[in-house]
Amino acid sequence: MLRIFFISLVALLVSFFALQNYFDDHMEIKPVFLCTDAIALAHHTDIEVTVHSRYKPDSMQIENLRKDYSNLWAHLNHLYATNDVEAGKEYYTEDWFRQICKHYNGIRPTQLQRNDAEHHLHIQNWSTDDLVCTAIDSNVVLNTTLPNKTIQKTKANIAIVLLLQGDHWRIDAMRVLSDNNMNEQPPPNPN
Amino acid sequence: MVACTHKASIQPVWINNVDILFMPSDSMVFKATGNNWEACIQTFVQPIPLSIKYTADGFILTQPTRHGAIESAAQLILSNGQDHFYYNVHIINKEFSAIQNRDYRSPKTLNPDYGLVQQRLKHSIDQWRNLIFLPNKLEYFFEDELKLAPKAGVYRIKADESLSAYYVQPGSCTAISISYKFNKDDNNYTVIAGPLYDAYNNMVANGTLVAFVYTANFKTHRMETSLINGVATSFIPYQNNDIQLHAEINNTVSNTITLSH
Repeated sequence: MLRIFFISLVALLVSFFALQNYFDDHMEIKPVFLCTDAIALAHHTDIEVTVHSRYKPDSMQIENLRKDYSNLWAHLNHLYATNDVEAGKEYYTEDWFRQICKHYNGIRPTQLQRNDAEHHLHIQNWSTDDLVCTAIDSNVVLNTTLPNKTIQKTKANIAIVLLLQGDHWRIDAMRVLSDNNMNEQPPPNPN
Repeated sequence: MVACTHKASIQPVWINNVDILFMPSDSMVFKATGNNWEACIQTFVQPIPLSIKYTADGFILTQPTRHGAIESAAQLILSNGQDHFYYNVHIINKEFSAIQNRDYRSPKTLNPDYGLVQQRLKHSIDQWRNLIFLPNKLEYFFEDELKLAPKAGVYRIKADESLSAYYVQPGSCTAISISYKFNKDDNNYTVIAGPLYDAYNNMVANGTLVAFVYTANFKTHRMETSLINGVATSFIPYQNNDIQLHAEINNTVSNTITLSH
């Protein structure tokens, strides 16, 4: 009888410590609002917003959109350079996230660094419940630094769908309407 | 003595070179030397890694996953140590059969008392998240306003998608009809308000509070009850004198009746 009691006690203690470790591991994942987004904080760009929609957002909503759109581009640039799909998932809808994960096989820096210098975001539609925004981002100036430090400058026009989900505007779909190289010559090879 | 010098790679020759690369891509054959190459397609959004299979005089690149991408100008990048070679291509997806026609409505809940105009935003997306022209319209985005019929109910934009549901609520009632009967066994009156309808003949919503206000023996009493299936029922205790009673829902008031037997 005493042996059963001691075996039960030992089993209980082992379970207790195992569960404590389990919960400690999970407590390390902070909720989003306590996390610092270093990639977004380090990013700066110039975004000019023009409203063409029938229903107009107010200035506070435009400011929130501008901030989230800047953060989104910080993560799109990071994704472009590293294929790190997870870092920016707060700015991706589930469908967009699933799509970029289809081309993911690990984080791989590509030696290319892209920086978005300016945007002209033309809001085409804004839902009356403030949850859907469609826009054309015209003449987006993108500077891509190649491994040999050459800077390739491009101008792009993009149609984009943004959805407000979980306190953030998130990218749901896009169409690259044009992406023109502004350098007169193609990027030189290092050899 | 060993000299540490970087021996530059010779640019691989793309044998089956194309300007437009259809995704998922076919095999890309290169004539090259060396066996330390890495390859990816740098799209507008992300790099897509490629698999390399070396042959006698070069290598063959294949896309390990059979998925499309965001269509755009792109670069096929070959890297061998410090050497990088770029081949400009334009990515187009081979197929986009699974088109999602998005139809966002707002507001999602409408009440005839406040208006039945609903905003509709439409756009279409292929399975790789590229916006595509709307069917029969040469534009990516479409917006209009719909005037909904005033019939209360739950509607779906797409029958098989519960998330596409929107709601037309019944409005407030326009008139209250009341009736009563005396219960001899319980010695009280059963007072019934309803059935109650809004201006469009929708039954007034369940849970709407109905107040029965009655005066007896110079005292005024108020009893509240909820509508169920358009009907509210209350029980008024018998008094020696006649009882004056009316029903109220917000600003809508019934006629006053006298309860007696």
